[in-house]
Amino acid sequence: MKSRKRTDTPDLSQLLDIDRIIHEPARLMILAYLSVVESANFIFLMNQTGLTQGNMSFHLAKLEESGYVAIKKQFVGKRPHTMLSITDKGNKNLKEYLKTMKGLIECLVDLR
Amino acid sequence: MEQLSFKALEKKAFRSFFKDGIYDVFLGLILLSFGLPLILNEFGLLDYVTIKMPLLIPLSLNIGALVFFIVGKKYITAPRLGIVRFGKTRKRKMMHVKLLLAISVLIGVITFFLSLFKVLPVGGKTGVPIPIIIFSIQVLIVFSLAAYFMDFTRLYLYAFLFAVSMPVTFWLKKNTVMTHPTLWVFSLTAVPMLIVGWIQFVRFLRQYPRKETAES
Repeated sequence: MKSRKRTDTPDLSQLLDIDRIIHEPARLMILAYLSVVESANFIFLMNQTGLTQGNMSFHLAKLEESGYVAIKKQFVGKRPHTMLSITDKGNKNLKEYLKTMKGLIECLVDLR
Repeated sequence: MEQLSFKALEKKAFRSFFKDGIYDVFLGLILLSFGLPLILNEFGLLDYVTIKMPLLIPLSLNIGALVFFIVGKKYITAPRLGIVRFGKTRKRKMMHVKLLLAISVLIGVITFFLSLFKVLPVGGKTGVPIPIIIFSIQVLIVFSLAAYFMDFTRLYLYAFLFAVSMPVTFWLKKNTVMTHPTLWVFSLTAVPMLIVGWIQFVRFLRQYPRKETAES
């Protein structure tokens, strides 16, 4: 993100560079939850986000396709579970997205 | 602000595991195990059974509580609420809780042996034995710290209930003519914990039905 003094004309064209994979509310919610835990299973994310099974599957597939979420079989106790975790790329892009959005929101608030 | 909201999100996720009421029932049963032999003794019921009963009753209640806790968390909570591995900060906090509980057990064992060999005075004018006072203070401190590390608000209240139950029972016995003080005290400390736990448990079962996913 380009550095800009607050008194300068705001560059709203940055909005076009927003990561659209993360910008979707359901995916943002999933990534936010995954960023605060090491890993979680499908049911946990469904309960926390309030998304339906179909919605979850759809958005998780998108996130996995983009390399933001990793799906692994892990042993919890003695039983294998499909656990989901955020990847380094996902974490980095989420932070970048939040930084950009924060900057843009601040800039828009200043305009009023 | 960003950090704060993520912290709150993690806290919310972790605290969702207290919605099942299993901790409440578990702690209620543990507290009840302290009081039940005394209550039975008050009603003269222990006279009719063997001398081992005062030990067997709390032991069996403790084992029952532990079984309920493990089985409940594994077969009721996990399939409904899901499985999660928390991050480093939470793991560190939970390690603090484990350490605190280990210290608590150690203090308990030391106090027990000190009172067994009569190193500790039995009690003063209040009628509350010194080992009971030590037990109450350490339970209050350990449970309150555990509540802090676990972000488990109800545990602060339970720490208080655990801490007051035994000293108040002994004090009432010595200083009042109240009939069955143990029954009254434990009805006002352990029973509310069990009721809260049970209500939470029933609510949890209704709110989180078992979900069938492709994984399960």
